[in-house]
Amino acid sequence: MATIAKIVLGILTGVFTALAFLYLKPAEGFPRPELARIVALHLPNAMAAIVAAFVAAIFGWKYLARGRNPLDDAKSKIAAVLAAIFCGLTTVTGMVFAQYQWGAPWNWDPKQTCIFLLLLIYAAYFVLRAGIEDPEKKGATAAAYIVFAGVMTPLLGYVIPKYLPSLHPTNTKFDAAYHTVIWGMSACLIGIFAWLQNIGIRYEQVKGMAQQLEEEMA
Amino acid sequence: MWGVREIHAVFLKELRTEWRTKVALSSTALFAIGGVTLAALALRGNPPLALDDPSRASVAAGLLWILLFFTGATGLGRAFALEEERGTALALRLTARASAVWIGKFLANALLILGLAIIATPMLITALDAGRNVNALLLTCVVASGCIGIAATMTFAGALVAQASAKSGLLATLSLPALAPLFVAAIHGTRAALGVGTRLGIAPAFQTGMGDLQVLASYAVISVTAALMLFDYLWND
Amino acid sequence: MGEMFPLLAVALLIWAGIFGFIFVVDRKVKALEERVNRELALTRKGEEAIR
Repeated sequence: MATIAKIVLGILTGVFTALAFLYLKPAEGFPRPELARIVALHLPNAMAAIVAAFVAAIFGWKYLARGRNPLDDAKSKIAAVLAAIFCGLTTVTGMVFAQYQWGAPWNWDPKQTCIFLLLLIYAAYFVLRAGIEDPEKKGATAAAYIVFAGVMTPLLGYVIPKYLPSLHPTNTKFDAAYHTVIWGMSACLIGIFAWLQNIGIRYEQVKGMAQQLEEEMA
Repeated sequence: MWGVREIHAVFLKELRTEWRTKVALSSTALFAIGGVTLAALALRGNPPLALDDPSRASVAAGLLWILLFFTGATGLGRAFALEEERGTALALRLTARASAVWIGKFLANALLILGLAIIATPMLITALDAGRNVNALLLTCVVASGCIGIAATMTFAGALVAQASAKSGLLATLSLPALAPLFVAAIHGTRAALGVGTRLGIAPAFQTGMGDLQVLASYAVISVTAALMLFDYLWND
Repeated sequence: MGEMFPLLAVALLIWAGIFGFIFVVDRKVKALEERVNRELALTRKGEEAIR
């Protein structure tokens, strides 16, 4: 990515952070209205996590079904790492919100449960990768798991809300200010995701090249 | 055309290999019986826990699925792990199509876990004295459909685990998040079958449990389909 | 509104830290890429010379 794009991304992130603090009105109806602003960080993180999870599943599928290109496996793996990080951030911001608004950081609310299981999936994915040595087998097995998990997780989102009582508001109408900040922040975080993904892929590539170089020297 | 013969051959081969050593059968059966014993010791010791009927039923439903999950995780991974260990995967690859291999092994695994569930479920429920308002038909339907889902996901995850060097515990780790929707519905359905939140008689229990059965059935269909599609790519390297 | 400024400053500082960190990592990867490319070109040249 061009340096200018990165600088613009940085400035935009700063602007939307400032807007979150100064432009958003405290959300009435919550025990701590001024702290409800954390949704401007919580929801965008969740969006970035979803985007990253999709990228991981799509490149996993591509690796599995379209000619075992090691680069696709690397893309899938890096996206999975980033998805786990964004999931973690979503969980943390959500726990802060829940502590102050619902009285406890963890309530086994459907969305909390879903994100926790998503974290478990990525943990299992990395354990699986660590357990296989042959790179091609590792790639194919990990890709098969992430695609299978990717098919099963939407089912989770459909099934679990039927069984667990939800604390998350379902009828929230964010006002225009919240809409602007949340979508803007989402764009910024997805931009950061793209940047990190780009760095990760370049690192994997250069690592492969360095290995090749070493082999040629030997 | 549909490869019924191949599936049948793989299925029979699985049963024969298992019957020769009975490792999966004996270890899982002992695991299940040991689990029931532990649950009974924990909950029926002296002084006995004073739980009312619905609480006992809820505890029994939760423990039943925990037990079935770990029982499955100890035994269902062997189907593919053995092929890799003995180096017979290549021979199998040459003689049968991927889908036939998977379905054959899935059927054998389903048979194994269903057999265990037939032993473990009544044992656990009588051990915890949770069966006073039981609706046996609904219980059978819920346990059977849940076991089929577990067998499907674990057969697929077992094929993945077979590639890894450290296999112990990995099957449970991989399949738990994917099985979570199944367990939520299965536990709810089991509670309904044991009389939680229902009045006596067949119809009310089924009214509560029908939604769970639908979820369990769709889970089984989706997991079998997804596993078949992905296994094709995995097997034909 | 005024009481938000110190908090905002902290938040912006954290963001600056995050961006700075990513920027440094980006530069490091870039430097690595350049080094490996240079070495790769050198080996190719050497191989041709030997031939």
